[in-house]
Parts: sequence; C-alpha cells; structure tokens
Amino acid sequence: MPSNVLKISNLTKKYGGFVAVDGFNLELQQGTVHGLVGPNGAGKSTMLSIISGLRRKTSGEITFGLPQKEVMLMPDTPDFFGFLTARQVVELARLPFAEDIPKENVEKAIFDVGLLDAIDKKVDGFSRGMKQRLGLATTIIGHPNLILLDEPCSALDPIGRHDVLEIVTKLKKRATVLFSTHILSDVETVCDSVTVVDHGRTLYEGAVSGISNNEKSFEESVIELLRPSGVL
Amino acid sequence: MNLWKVELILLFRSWRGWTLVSLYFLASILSVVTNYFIDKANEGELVPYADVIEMYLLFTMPAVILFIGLVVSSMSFDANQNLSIFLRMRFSFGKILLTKLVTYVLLNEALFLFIFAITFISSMVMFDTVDSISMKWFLFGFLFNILNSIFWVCLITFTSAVFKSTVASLLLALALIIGFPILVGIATPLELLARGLWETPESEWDNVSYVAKINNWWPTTISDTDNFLTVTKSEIKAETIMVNFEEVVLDPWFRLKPFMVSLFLAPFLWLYAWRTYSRREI
Repeated sequence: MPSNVLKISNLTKKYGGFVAVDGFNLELQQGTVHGLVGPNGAGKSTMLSIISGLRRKTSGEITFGLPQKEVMLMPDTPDFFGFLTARQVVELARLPFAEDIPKENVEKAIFDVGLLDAIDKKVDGFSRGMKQRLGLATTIIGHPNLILLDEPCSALDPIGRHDVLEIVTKLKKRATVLFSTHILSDVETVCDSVTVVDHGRTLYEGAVSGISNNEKSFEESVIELLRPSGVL
Repeated sequence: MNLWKVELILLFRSWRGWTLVSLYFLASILSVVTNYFIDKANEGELVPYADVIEMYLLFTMPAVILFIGLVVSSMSFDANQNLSIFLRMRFSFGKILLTKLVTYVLLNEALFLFIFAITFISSMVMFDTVDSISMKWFLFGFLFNILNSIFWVCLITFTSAVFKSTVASLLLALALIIGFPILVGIATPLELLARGLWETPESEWDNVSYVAKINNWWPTTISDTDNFLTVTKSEIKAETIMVNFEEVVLDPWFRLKPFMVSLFLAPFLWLYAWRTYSRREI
C-alpha cells in the first residue's frame, strides 16, 4: 500500500476579502504524478507556493509524509544569477545536498534536461525555454521526493515539452510530482490523477480517466467543467 | 560554487566591485596628490603625514556610500521573486543573510585597511613624519571602525527588510546614516537662531541645542571615532583632536552614547529583519 506523501485538508488562502484558495483538499501518494489544471487566476500557483512554504495559509491543514527539505518547487519562470553558467547554477543548487549528491550528477542533470550544449554558457543569454529546462535541472539535482512544478512546459517548444514530459514520466518511479498546467494534453500524457480548480475551488479530483466518458474526450470534459465560470 | 563565491562574482564581474575598489584608490591618490600640492604651495612648512591620512578618511565617503548601496542591493534579493524562490528553496535565511553580511563586511574592511596602509606608507615617504601617529589610538580607532561596520550592516539589513524594493531600502538607509546628520547640521543653527542663542560659541552647541543633544545619541555618529586612526603625539599632548572640522577633547569615550545606543539597537534591528525576511511571502 503506497504511503501518503502529502495530505491537504480544507486549505484556504485569503488576501483581504479575496479568496485565492477555497477549502482545497488533496492526497498524494508516493510515486504518483498529479496534475493541477485550471485557468489563469484559479489559485494553482498560490497552492504550490503554500505547499512549498513560500506563502502562509489562512486556514487548513497540510501534512507531509516526508521531511520538508525533500520538497522542491520550480516556479513558472525560473530565474538565476545571470552571470553564472548553467553548470555553476546547478552546482549551487546541489550545495545543500552535497553530502548525498556527488558533483558528477551536475552534468547528468543538465544532460537530462537537454542543456548539455549550453552547460558552460552564461545564463544571461538563455531563452525562457532554456531557463525552464535549467530550472528543472536545479529541481531534480537534489533528488527531492516531492516535486512541485508550476507550469513547467509553458515556455517550451514542442521538443522541449516532449523532453520535460519524458523527465516527469521518469521521475514517477522515484518521486511524487504535483504539477500545474494549462496544457490539458500534458495531463493526459503523464498524470495518474488530476484536480481541476477554478476560483480557488476544486471542481474535480480523481483519476484522469474518471473525468471523461465515451462521448467526450478529457479535454472536452475539463472545458465543460470550467465553462460556467470561465474558459481555459 | 557556493553563496559567498556568488556574492564576490556578482561584485567583481560587473562595475560594482571594481568601482568600490577604484573609489578607495581614488581617495588615496587624491589625498596624496592634494597634499603634495599643498606642500609645494607652503614653502618651508611641511605637511604632516597625519593630515594626508585624515584627508583619505574624508575622501572615502563616496566609497562608503557605494558600499551601502551594494549591501542594500544584495540584501534586496526578494525584489527578484523567481531568483528569491531559487535561493529560499535551497538555503536557510540564516545562511543567505550571514553569507552576504560576512562577505561585505570583510571585503569592505579589507579594502579600507589595505588602501589605508598604502596611503600610510606613501605619506610617510612623501610628507613630514616628525609628529607621528599613535599606534595605540590607531588600534582603538580600528576596533571602533569594525564595530561601526557591523552596526551599519545591521542597520542596512533592517532597512532592506522594511521594503522589498532596492531603491526604497537604499533611500531609507542613506536617510538614517547620512541624511540625519546632515539634517542636524542644518537644524542646529536654525534652532539656536529661533531661540535667540545664535551667539553661543560653536563648541557649546552640543550642550545648548536640543537637536545637537539628540544627535549625540544618534548611533551612526560612532563613525566619528575614525578620527582616532590619526591621533598624533602632539594631539595627545594637547589632549584635543579635530572632529568634523571642530576641536574636541581627546577622550576615548567621546562617542560612548551613540555606541551604547548602537549596542542596544543592533540586536533589535537584526531581529526585526530576521522576522520580516522569514515571514515575507514570495
């Protein structure tokens, strides 16, 4: 029986009178990939920020089944010291885990995200897509057990997207991944389960296959769920 | 790669670090060159080397202002949200803040002292050394210089914690460190004028003016103890030194009040900064 890595009960986040997250519930099991789908402003990034400890919750419970240092977040537009090379950035990201992660893994992580050609180039000259790949390398270098990816494919070309999804699929075997996205086909490709959110509220939570039926595709089913309050 | 290396690369791969180094060197060169011409102009009367070093201390002001700007800019890492996420997800606040503080304090002290030594040696070669500088007072002054730097960094950490924006933090830091003493310089004579005490001798202003009395407790005035770095044998004999173009009694504790205030304030400033940084939402 797989153990719970993360359990969220009735999570709420308010900014004054505005409710960004409204009674969110989630249970993640070891080794699964869970998608968080919703339109802009649905509260996806806020949820990931709260889980990673970068923002405080207004109410609710978050219980981790692992040490918090094993949680790692990659923001939607990762940024680094532009004067460092890709190698130096990943070396810096390895530093807190230096006892367990050998230096040789730096090159491997950069290879995994397809940036080996630019390994000794300064980050200043990187495109947004390259920064997103580098962000992924800095995220996986410490071998975290719970990986929070905030729209990891948003700035990537089709090949980049394919590579990232492949990495996420590989991660499935050794880590739990919670990733938010606009791209519904990505959820279908890599996720075991999905939560559809809008205005901070959960509209659906369950298996990816459970949302659609014989008549409608996954994409059509999600859009139908969201249509009363907005569109993707 | 580690955090302190990142700070040093950040400084020395751009104009920042090199401008700081250049400003210290410029202060040294200007003080020597200026006194060389004064020496030439005053035929017969040689310029004491202590005057050259005093001028060096005065001319380091632009470097000090730049140093404040660099520390504020470095401390305002939350201004770049995504970079801040990269750091905060991997390093504790303690590690981030302490690395920055230790790097900047050590670098500034090393630069100040190294170029001070160059100025000292060149002025000993070029100018009059009859009235020598007291090593005892120099060491005492240097101790205060380090303590002053530590307090300034605590203050800058505080101002950087108040605002996320670099510009707002920098303006607050400059207002507290430099702006307040300038304000006192203007407000003190105005106060005396308003109270009909304009005739008071300047040496008595500190005892008569309320504004000046407040300034006597203002913690950043401990930087006046930099004057201990150049106390000469004749000043020891006369028991007076020049501070801000004003003659004062040579007393090791003449800035005891602001020193006490800084000792009291520093932990609170640090705690406030710590609390604000650690509670700040990204």
